Amino acid sequence: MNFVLVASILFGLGLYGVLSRRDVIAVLASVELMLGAATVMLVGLAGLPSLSSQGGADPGTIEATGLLLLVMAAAAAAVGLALLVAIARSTGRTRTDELTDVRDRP
Amino acid sequence: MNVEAWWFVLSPVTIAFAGGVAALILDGWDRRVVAIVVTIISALVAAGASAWLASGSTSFVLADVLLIDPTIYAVWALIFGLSALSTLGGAVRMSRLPAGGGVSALVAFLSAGSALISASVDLLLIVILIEVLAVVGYGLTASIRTSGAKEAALKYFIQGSVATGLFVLGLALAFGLLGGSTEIAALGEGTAQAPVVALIVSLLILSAFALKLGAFPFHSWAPDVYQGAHPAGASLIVVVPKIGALSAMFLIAEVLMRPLEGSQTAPLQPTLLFSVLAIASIIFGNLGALRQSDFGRMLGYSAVAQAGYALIALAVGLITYPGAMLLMTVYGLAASTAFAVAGALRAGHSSWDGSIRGMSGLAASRPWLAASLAVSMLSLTGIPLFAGFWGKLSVFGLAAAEGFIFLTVAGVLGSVFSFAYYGAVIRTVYFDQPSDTRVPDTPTSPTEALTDTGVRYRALPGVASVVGAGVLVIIGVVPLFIGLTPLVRFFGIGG
Amino acid sequence: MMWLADNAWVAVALPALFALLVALVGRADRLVAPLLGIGSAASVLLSGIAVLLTVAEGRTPAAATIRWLPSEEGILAIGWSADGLVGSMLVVVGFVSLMVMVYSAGYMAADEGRVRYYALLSLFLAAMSLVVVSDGLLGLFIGWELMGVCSYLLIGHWTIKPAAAAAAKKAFLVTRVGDVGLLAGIVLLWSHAGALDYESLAAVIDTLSPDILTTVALLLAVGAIGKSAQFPLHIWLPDAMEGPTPVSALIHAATMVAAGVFLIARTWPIYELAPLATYVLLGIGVATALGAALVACVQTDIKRVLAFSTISQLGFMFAALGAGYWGVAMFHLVTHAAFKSLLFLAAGSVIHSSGTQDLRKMGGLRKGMQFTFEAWTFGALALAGIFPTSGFFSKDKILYIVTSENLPAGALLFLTTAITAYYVARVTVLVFFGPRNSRKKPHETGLAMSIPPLILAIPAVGLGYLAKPSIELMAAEYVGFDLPVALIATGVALLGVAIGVFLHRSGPSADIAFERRLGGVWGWIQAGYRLDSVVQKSVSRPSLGLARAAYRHIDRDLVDRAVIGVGSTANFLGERLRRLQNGDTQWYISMGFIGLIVLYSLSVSWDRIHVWLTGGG
Repeated sequence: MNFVLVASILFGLGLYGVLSRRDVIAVLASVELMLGAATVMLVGLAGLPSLSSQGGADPGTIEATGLLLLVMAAAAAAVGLALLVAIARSTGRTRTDELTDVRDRP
Repeated sequence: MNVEAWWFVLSPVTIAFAGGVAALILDGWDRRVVAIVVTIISALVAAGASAWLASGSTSFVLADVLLIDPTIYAVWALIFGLSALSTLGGAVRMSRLPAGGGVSALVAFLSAGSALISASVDLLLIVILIEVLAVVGYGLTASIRTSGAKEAALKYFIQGSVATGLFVLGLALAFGLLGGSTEIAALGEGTAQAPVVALIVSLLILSAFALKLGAFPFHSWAPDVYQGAHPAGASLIVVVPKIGALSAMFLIAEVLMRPLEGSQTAPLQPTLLFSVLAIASIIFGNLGALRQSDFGRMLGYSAVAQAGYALIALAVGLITYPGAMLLMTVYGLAASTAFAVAGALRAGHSSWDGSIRGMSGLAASRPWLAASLAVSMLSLTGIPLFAGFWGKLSVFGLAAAEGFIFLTVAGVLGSVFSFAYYGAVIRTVYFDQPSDTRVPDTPTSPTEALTDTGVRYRALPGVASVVGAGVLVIIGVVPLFIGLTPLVRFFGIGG
Repeated sequence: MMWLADNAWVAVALPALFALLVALVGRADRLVAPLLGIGSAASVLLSGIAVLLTVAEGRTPAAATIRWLPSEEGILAIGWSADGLVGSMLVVVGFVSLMVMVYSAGYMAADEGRVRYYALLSLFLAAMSLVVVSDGLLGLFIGWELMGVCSYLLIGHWTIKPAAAAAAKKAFLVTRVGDVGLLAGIVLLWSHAGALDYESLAAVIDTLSPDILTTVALLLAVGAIGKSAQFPLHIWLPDAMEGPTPVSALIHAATMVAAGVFLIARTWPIYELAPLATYVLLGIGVATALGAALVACVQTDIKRVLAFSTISQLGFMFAALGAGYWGVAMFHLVTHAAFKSLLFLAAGSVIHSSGTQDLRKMGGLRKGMQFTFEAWTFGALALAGIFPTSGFFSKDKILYIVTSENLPAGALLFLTTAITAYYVARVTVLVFFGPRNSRKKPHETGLAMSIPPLILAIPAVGLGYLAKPSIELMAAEYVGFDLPVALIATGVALLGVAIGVFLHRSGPSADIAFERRLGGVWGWIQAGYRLDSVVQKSVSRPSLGLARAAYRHIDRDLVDRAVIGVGSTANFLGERLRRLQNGDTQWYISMGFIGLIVLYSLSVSWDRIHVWLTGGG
């Protein structure tokens, strides 16, 4: 059951990073960490022997899904980074507390 | 012909998807206008095919992950129809973007993905589709390439990715602790053994869907995107996926979350969860929309309130499924109409700054646009004789009949309150004197319109808005004569 | 055509749709609003013709009830039905409004508020049609109130004129007094008969006690008196002339003010069983006819003459109702609609051309306004009741039935006929003959304004020969031609005309001589017997005071404060909530997590919260 612990720690770290880091690149990295942790949890749980006895889904399917999720997370990260590069080029801002143009003004 | 063949069952999605691919290729050759036309036509064909299939009795389970029946086809028809209308409304703006054809391809993919999500019965497929929709949504938001749009897209991306992470975690927990399956129906059977796990899984999954719907407290992206994205993109992002997400949410609510309800001690009470979210969304959306000066941002907040009305339906249960679909569809239609008006104002050499005040005097300079806008605002409020009224009536009426008096009151009060800002738009358009940032008149010479690349179709957003307003009025009036039942029956008795 | 007859609701729906269209796109082009207005008038006219043709074939047009709410049947249902009475009324409304819409294209061409004007006129048509085709008193009441609102807004069309605003308010308040009676009658009827549609009412009406029926009849009559400007609620109509002249022609002469007569005709089964109410109608009708005719003789404003004349003619209709012949009343309504709208439109041209409404400043307009003069002459002859115009036939029937019902009342009506002929001659002479008193050169006012009065002259003259078929189409009792009455009436009318022409042949000097000789009496009559202030003091002021008190204590103290409170609270909260949306993505995500934690805590402790909420039960 170690993977549950690992995945939980990774997810917590990711969440902490998303909420606390002010650098957008770090935030993006933390987001990926959360996704990765969740994927680890999924794949790990799929390998539990107690589940296959219940006649559930094939662990192979889940593992394939895990891979797919990794690929999609990478694709999404590419979109996010592209957005960040575009913003950084035009405004030079890369920190979340600088990117507050779109908001309600009191 | 074997009507059970998978390609036949999925033909609407395939058509829309193929249209998107074709648009991508055409965009590579810089045939932007052709690409946009192709996506519009393919969306229309897909809508027609769905409507035709909806009238049949095809019911099909594909690879244990998709369940497709006439109800779903009806939902698809709405998704693709709205997609065509939104693309038409944003066509001019798109055709002037450097990769306009690609943007229209994104629209096509978005509608295809939304259609599939409404038919999914497996969480694995749903998580993949949600991610696809999200990535397309970020791209669409940023496609206009203004700094505001890019910022909105980046923030939307961060929030959306966190929600996806939560969803995947929920999926993992569900799979591991609720019975080793990703099929929603099988998971539902496992909830009795682990009620607290079921609650956590539900909350995690719910947060991703609430984000798609734009419900409080996962709404923060909505005002930004509505304000920043260009009208076609915004109307697509907010309209089309919501229908798919709402349909899928009913399935999850009924099959995964509902089994334990009834016992007072079970921690998972979907009615409670949805009621809290609904009331919070109604209050927050309405209050937030009240003081906005930007038209798109106002619509963004009002969308939060509208998501609240849909959540009322989820709280009441499966019997409101047809009503909720009607509510969401007419909302989408009215929002698309409003965005098409915004698109028409943005088209050409407009100096419109996107503010509500900047629309003053529209009634005099472009009466048809003003009329469409007024119709869409009245429909969004839910005034009788406009489509929005029937959507709200069918949800609130059932909520009242089922004894959810508190939710009904909240919904009705919210709707009444919403006229404060919807009506303000009408007042500005019809009664306020144009300020200095006023909407310029339509171009004086046709040659002027022809000189700019791709601006030849300047009238398209206006046409889209008038079409949308016309449908809103027709749906609003027809039930007076034939009753509401046929309209609701179109959606079957629920998935 | 047949479809139109079976779907009388079209006469309501199309004008309403056109009204909406005018409001939405009326600004697009100068011609759009008038054309849409003409469209709504034409749709009403076509509906009416279709209904009449179907009735003439001996078939009853289809009626139906819209079950627009999935509620139990009958409750608050609104439907339509059509018969000869409905068809005739639709034709009258449609025809006159068609002429008025065409006329307005000229009259209002340069007006700033044209779009609003046409939208309101179309909406008024929809409301009037609703009154006419609705199959029960509920739909009638809705249309009735909507007509009142349109009339109010149209009288106040020129909001810059303080007199117009005041007149609009007065019309609204005074007719509201009548409407209270109408509403009370409807509620009383519903509570005893259990239905409001005419068909069910006719079936159960025999079972009701005579007292109830009489009360209901009197209450409905109060509504009719208010709308049709009968004594003592007539005081709003002369002031309503502050509105544009085409509006006066359509609403305040031909259609809306006649709705009271129509209401009583449509609910006639009730009046048949309530003889007391018909006596009241007769008395009020005769008194109003005579009194208003006298006032009309001394007015100096051409539109006010016509307004008092309208009140007087409506008095004739009420007298006919009181004598028990609603068909005759309706026939006079039809002919009066033709000739009075003609007179108003012609007066509008005269005003437009001479730039004044004051009779003393006109004169000699015959030259230069040939068409208008000819049209006016036909209308004037009809109003005076001179053979062979339509007014002669319809008035003759009223004189005959009233005389045979009640001789003194009949005699008074003969006197009124003479007076009518007198003031008609006076106005005609003062406007068209004699020396010119204005420096402005008289001129015709364009085709759009000179053709409609000429067209209206055709029914104004010719309708008399259709008396028998039209009354029989309405399925009412026909009254034949009576030679002695006709001879006396003609003689009396000719005498009136002769006196009028003789006295005023040299211009307005006769008025001055009269005024000097009669002194206070003259002023008393000219001010409408000063009934205005009496009624205002006794009816309008108290209700206004009541309204003010209600406003002060309920609306302002309670509702306003609540509304303002809600509004400012909402604004305050909205302001606070804006701080949540500060642009910080990470705060947004935190909000989501806080929400999740709240939902989780709420869920796991729900059983305890539930127990606590339900008081430990």
